[in-house]
Amino acid sequence: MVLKGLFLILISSALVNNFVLSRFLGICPFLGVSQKIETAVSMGWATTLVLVVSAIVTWSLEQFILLPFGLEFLRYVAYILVIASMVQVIETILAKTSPALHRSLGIFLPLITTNCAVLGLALLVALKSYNVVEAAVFATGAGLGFTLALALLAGIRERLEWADIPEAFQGTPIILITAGILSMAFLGFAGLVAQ
Amino acid sequence: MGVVQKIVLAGVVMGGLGVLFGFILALVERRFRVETDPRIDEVEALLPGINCGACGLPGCRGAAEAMVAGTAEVNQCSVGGQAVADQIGSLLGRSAQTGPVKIAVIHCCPSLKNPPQYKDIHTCLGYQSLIGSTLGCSYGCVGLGDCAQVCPSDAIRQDKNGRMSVVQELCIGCGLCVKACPRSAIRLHEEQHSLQLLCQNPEKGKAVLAVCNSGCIACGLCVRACTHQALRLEDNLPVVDYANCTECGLCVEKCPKHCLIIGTQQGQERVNAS
Repeated sequence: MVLKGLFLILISSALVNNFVLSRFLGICPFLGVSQKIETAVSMGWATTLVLVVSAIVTWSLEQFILLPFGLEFLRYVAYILVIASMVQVIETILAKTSPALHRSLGIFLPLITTNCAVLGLALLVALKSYNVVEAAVFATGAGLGFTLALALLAGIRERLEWADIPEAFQGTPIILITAGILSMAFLGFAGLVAQ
Repeated sequence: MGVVQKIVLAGVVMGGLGVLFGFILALVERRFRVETDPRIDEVEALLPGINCGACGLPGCRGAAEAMVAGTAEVNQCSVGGQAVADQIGSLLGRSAQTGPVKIAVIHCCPSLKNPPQYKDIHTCLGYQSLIGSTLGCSYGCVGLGDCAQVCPSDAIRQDKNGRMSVVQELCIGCGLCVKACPRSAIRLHEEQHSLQLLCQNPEKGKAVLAVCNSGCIACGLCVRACTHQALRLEDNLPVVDYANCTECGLCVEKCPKHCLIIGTQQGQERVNAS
């Protein structure tokens, strides 16, 4: 029963309430880092890693410091501090332990600090009062959904390079329209999990 | 709990978190520091830093790493030239001579009889693949600016007639445009070789005349005008022997098509021989 609940959270955060296409969080990397599937997937993995780690750390912060002291109003500031520090820690550790992965993630890793999906996820975890396992699964799902959305848009954009697009729609407009259609397509998942 | 206590508590918690994470970061940094050769940073600072890739290495950082590791010569950077090579050489205790400074020359300054109309073709490569040599001059500049696109120093300009030219003062001789031109109309020349032919159509005069108003028709007037035996005709184009050329300009005056020039391509007054 517990497993079923966790699985529902995973599916829900990855598909039904996809962070990019349904909650409209993390639009900046969604549009910025989706020229190539390869870089989009790298970005997706990096974000997933940061999402999971920061979800766990912000959850502990919430449970052990903010709630006991009645300081819920500090959430935003404290979470940003945690996320920025965590990203820096992850980057330093990766550079030492796995230089290849560090090189392939490259500049994306520090940029994730400003990805609003990370802060949004931490706030949602607090709002839904998940326990730590649920929070981690929720973050994993969100990361997978983010990667999926990025890879999908990147795949479409690689094709758009060769498409005969009307002049008025060239560049950013066609990407925004594509993103909108993708978002509508994800509405199809709405009935999958009743939540 | 009063308001004041709450403010103080908030300050303590945030300050504490800041100090805590500061310590964690410092610890992690110390524990997981990656030792890099400090010379890499110094060499990178000496390089031009425009990441043009002319050396064939991934950017200036990659070039610096390779130079320090010894897999690349200190003169690999054609952009920095001898000055940079000397500085890096003295830093790394090695020396190498660079070749002469080179700049790019676009060997075409077309005024076509029937300029092709471009529709939905935005790159020279696209033009060359789709239309190839079926229209007009099949040797000259297409004018869609692939070279200007790749130029890291913004040295290639297009005038209002669609002709491309290189601003010599800006050209760094990286050779990216040479690779980008699908018609091989751009070549690198030593900077002091200022006499240049702006045409590379090797066909006979009549065939060139049929497509272009400013192409070399192999009339040979330049060869005859030259008093220094610095010119000869080869494949219907004059070839300059720079060892003999004194840049006197006699050939430039005689050229009926004005496709021989001395000095810069940019801003040259060209009479349209129509």
